[in-house]
Amino acid sequence: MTVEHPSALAYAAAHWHALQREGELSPSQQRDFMQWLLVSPEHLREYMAISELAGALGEAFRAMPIDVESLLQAPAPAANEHNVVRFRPRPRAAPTVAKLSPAPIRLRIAVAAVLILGLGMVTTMAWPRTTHYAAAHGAPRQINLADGTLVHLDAESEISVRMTLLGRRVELERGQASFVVGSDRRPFAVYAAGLQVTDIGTTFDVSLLREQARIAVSEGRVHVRGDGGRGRMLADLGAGQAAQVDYRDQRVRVSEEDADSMAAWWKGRAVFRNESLRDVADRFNRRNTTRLHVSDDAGALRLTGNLRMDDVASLRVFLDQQPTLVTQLAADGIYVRLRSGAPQSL
Amino acid sequence: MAEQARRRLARMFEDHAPLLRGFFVRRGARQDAEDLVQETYLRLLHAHERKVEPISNPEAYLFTVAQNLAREQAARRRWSTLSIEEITGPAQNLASGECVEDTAEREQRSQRLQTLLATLPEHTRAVLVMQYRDGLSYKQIAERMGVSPHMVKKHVVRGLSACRRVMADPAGSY
Repeated sequence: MTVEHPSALAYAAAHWHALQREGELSPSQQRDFMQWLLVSPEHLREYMAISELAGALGEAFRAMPIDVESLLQAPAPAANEHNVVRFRPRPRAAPTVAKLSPAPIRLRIAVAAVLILGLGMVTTMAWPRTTHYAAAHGAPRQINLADGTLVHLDAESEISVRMTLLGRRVELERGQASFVVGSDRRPFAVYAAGLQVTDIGTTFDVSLLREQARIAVSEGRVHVRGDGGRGRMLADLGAGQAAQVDYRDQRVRVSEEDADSMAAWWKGRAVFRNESLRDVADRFNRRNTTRLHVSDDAGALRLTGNLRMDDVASLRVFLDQQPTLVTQLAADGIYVRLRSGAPQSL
Repeated sequence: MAEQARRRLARMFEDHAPLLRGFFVRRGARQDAEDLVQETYLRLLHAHERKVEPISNPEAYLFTVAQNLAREQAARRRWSTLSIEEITGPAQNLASGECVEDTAEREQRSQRLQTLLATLPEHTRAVLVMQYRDGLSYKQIAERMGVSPHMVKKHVVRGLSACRRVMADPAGSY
């Protein structure tokens, strides 16, 4: 079994577990925790495994004769190590150089400085870095990543980008993002709702809808796998294809789409083909202050259209044209419901 | 405050320890556990998206969702093999998740954990004992050790992730 970052994930889960045990978390910390949990089922599984382990520790300790006092009398460990493997303490070199002549001291300092500098450079290059990007309500943005990848991030959407020596990993935490992937020898993968999308020289789009994740390719090719990359291959998509993967049972529906309509939202247009009203409304609500409120039964209705994203008035006209829908303007937005007497599902 | 935190900790383990054990330890239940994780994830995701107000205590919510799912699953499993009279309260269903067959396995795992704990640095071990056996708060532990609560938390995180790393090793029984 190969696991991608077992210790990093365990570490993050342990961190959240410890923070929860510390006491009252602020609402923003709770929100961050929820975001972290919802990044993928792996995060949730790891959190539960850590919690289970914590419970098992209590049990194991009760079966062991342990005297805390004598443990505490042991010398405190060095403060800097991040692992807990014990090292043989080595005698420190620095304080014992006092009697040496000035020249070697300077030399030693110079050597040390060079070493520290060198180490610093190596670690900045090699240290995996995670950067989080968010686009606020009504404010889609473009992001140029260090590897030359261009990301179109829709409003109310968030990604985390992790660049390591061996790979480029993006997690779509919320909303929608398109990737014009920069050429780089390291593989590029997007994780969303437990799916892994790996690219093979590509421009593609990933969107978290209500019931499905949607992956659309406008150039090149991508592979979509379940279970964070460890599951079976769910789709092999070429240019002009889109796959909708159901969150519940990972059922896949592949459709043909033209590349222009996939990139339309970058230019402020909403192009939707046989898309549920609920998902269409979400797209508009990410951008506009006038909100659409869709009733549950109307939300399932499938629509096809091509509208400006900032033009809610046109959207309302479009919805009014649908024979089964009724719209109503209120102070807090537009309410959409099924016309009474209309069949419940179409 | 410290007392409150301590009670919260105790409650969380009382409430959820059997559930979590049922999740991950039972032999042959790996697929069940995986299904539960996926389903819990989806329900949490849906709840998160539907709610106008953010969920104020995600951890409690998570365990409640997981617990309900585990009960449903236990009930389903029992329905296929047992008569209605044998299915009693929900608590019983959950308890039945830990059956006799895993006693040996649990024993073995506990042994392994004890061996592993003995290899941790003394201070980390002391912190884990005070936290998980004695239920002390970080502040109480910090006072006893003469370090900051932040340092205590660091020990907890290191200790837990080190144990998790070893226990998750596929060579083991976990």
